[in-house]
Amino acid sequence: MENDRKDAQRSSRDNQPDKKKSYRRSWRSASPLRKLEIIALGIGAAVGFGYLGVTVWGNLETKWNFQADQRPHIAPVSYSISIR
Amino acid sequence: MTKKTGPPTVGQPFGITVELKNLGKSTARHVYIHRHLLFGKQYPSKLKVEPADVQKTSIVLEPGSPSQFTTAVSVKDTYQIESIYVPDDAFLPWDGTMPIIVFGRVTYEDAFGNLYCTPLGAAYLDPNSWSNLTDFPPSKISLSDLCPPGAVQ
Repeated sequence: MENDRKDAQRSSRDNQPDKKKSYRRSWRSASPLRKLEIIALGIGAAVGFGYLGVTVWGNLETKWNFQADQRPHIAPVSYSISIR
Repeated sequence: MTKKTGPPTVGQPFGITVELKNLGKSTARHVYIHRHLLFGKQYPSKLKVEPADVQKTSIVLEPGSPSQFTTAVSVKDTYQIESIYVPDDAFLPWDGTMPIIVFGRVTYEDAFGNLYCTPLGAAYLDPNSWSNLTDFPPSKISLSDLCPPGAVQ
């Protein structure tokens, strides 16, 4: 009896298009093909962010290496006593 | 102070001229030089690390350009007088005591605004030989301590 009532409530919520569904309920109600699409999209986004991170890090390393290689470097080359 | 070189004379003030060169591959901008001279009883009691500079200079040192010379002179307060002009009453004649230490730092920037620093430290042995210092015993100050925090050495 109690379970029937809960099922009815859930069914009623799922069938209300205006109300926002939670992600969990959206996932449950999604078709297997839609689920596959979402997983593929997630993997694609992760790969994209990873590639972006590696590219940005590579560019930073190139910049740092260039700066270290091309840096100015002032050094003392000799000392001498000056007298009156 | 003339540019004659030789051993210091007892009873006369003297200076130590440091020849600096840009051995890197790009222009050193905002070159700021601190140089100090201490001898005898002044060392190490008057040795101290100076704070980071607030002001910037317009001095530029190109790579491969002629050397820049800077002279530290024997004065009563080496931290008070770092300009080219030294009043006569500020000079401190040499009393014949050793060691004679020149120290300081050169800070400069690259085109990207990165701050670099070269610490200076040498002890006079005779007119033809100097000992490059890595620290200043018996004080606990090391050569790298002369540079401001955050500067690449």
